[in-house]
Amino acid sequence: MNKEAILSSIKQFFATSPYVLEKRLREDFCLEHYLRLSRYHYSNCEKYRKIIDFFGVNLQTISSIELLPFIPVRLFKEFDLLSVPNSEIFKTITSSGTSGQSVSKIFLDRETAVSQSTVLAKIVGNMFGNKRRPMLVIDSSSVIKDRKLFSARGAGILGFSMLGHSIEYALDENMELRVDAINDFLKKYADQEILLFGFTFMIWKHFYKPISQLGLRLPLERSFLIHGGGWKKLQAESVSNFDFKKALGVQCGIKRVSNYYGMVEQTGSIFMECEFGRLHSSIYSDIIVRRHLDFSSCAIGEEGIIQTLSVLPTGYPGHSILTEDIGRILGEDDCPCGRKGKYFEIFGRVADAEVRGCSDTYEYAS
Amino acid sequence: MTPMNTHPNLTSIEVLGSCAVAFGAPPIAPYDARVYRFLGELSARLMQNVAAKKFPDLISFAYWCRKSNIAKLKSQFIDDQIRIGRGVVFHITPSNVPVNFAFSYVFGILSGNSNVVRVPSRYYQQTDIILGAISDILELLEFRELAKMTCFVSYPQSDEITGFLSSKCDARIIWGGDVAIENIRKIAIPHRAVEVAFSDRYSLCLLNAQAFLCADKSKIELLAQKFFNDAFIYDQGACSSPRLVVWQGSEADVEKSKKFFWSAVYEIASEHYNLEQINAINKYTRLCAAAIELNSRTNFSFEDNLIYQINFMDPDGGIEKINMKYGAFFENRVDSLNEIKGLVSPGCQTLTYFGVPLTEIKNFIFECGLKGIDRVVPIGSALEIGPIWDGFDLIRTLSRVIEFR
Repeated sequence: MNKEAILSSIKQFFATSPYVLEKRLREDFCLEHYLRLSRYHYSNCEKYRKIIDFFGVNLQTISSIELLPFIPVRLFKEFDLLSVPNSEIFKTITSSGTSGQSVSKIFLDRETAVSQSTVLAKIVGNMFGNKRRPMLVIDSSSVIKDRKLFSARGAGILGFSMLGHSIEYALDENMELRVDAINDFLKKYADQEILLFGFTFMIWKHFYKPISQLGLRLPLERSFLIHGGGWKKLQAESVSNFDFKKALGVQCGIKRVSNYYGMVEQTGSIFMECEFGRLHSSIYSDIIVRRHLDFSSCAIGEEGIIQTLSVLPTGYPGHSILTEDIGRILGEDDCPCGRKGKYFEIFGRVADAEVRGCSDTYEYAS
Repeated sequence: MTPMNTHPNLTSIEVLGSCAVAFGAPPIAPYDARVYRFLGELSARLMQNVAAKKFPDLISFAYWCRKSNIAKLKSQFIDDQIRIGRGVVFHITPSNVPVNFAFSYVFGILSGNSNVVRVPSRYYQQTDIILGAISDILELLEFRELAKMTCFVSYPQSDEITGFLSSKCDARIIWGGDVAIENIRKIAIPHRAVEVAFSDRYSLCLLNAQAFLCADKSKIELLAQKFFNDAFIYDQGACSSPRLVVWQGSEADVEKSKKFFWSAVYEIASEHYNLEQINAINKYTRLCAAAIELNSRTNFSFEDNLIYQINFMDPDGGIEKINMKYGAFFENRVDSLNEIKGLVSPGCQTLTYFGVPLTEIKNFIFECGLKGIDRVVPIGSALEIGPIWDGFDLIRTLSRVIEFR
């Protein structure tokens, strides 16, 4: 199985709108591709091959997406998993765990990096419309200094930056508000819809909190905010998704606050919140919830361990990953927003696991 | 290294007793009568303690300290040499086995030493209960010398404090595995001091299939119960927990035995073992890591995550580096014991057995000149700690011999 075959298969996905296919059609459409991807990684990644052989999985006879093998996410921290020669590594993204020592390394080849941007644009375009908007990043420009080696946070920012223009950074290298720069930016684009982007805890600690303490009133009524990166750091302050949206709405006037779920180990998977506050899986990435006692699939509404799948990764075998997050599927194909596909909620990290996610690369002194 | 005349403030870390006093207390002979009476008293109080009943490990410790057991150990300690404790033992005990610090302390006083014992900084109720009982007993007049030989400390990681305590000791015991040992060995002990270090170990379980098949149903259930205790207490994470299950016998006999054995163990585990979400993930992660790290082809299948049985066919080892926990076992079949020679490295601690004569195991160890296997005990006894542990005879190691001519 060679890369060209996978890439042309991926092109078919790009020709299809992210949320139009209902369950049966979607699964038929996707299963063949996931099998091709699995066989491709089997041929090209020795470690992946060893795992598949160990479990005695026959990649020719898998009859449903649920039966596809999956890799536990922490394996990317313990091993370098690569399906292309070193010369084809385009970007390496790292994420450090809370233990501080071992680092997840994700190797992107050029094609995966490009298709991630394409997918992101399609999803955000579907959720918010396709216009390129002026963008305010709630972070510091120092996060993306090194263009070859990114932290997860840097990768996320760079990825989303492609959706906006005239990018401004709201924080300086000490993570403090650049109040003048922000005001100038907002004045310049006063008549336009603005996209704000950042990581959840960064926004809370370094944007919302100082704004609220300073009593600042920023003209953000015409903006919307996309944020991701998990809630673990806010658990200590008991800030829920609901609290977060309310606070930003009340203090900053931001009407639409949209969370997304994603992880550095599968950067092509962006599960965005719709207008009704539900996280949606798209045709580019699927979600399965599994019971921990035997990894069987949970029923709708039943809590379990989240597995995510992505049609994109060719540089590394990251197309089917068992995460360390707990959540449940709320429904399928029938969300009031009209989008087809599974919609779900995340409860958080499994208790006592290694912390995963995009925003934990910055450790602040508390 | 901290200069020896620096005195960090020690009173703030003392939980019971005084470091200064303990460092000045003189050694006594091993198996002293006062220690025997003290342990008897400790055993009785703990066995009667209502709060203690919740903790099987605490009850095991209390039961171990009883007079009849200490008397037995003393009678087994045949020694025509004159011995006296080395002086002061500094114990660094593991943070994840709550009662271990108490055993370490007891080995220290049984060998005739004064003791400064660092207890785990993680909170365990067992720690409180044990220290409470010790504290009460040491207030009695008859144990006033032992009180001077007893100090428990607790402090978050501090090279300065560890360095100071190490600089004053005559023996240092390090529990907690390779990483702990590497870190603490950067801190020196006095030239005459001895060190006992408990490094990372793994353990094996050996069963003879023919003997197994001759056993009746109740015996098999009892055996499964014993194996379950050995394996699943401490989430299979203790150095004595079995990692590899070796079956001796013909293919047919072994196939049949495995079916009966594992279905009996499964039944007990499904009722008594709680596999938590995070541990299911941990277990599956280790399994995939094993798949990558093992060189031999194995075939593996699983119906659920409760018990993983991994057929392991490589005679040259590799399992000592793969840490399996939460109920995941390598498994293989041999005709003769010599075939597992390559699987016994210096890291191998305990061999539990069923249906295999001890002489056969002893011959195997000597004929192959093995550097591993420190304990050969029946299935069910894997976790029974004693003064002969991990290849160390602690009473002898922690005491010194005086030659008289």
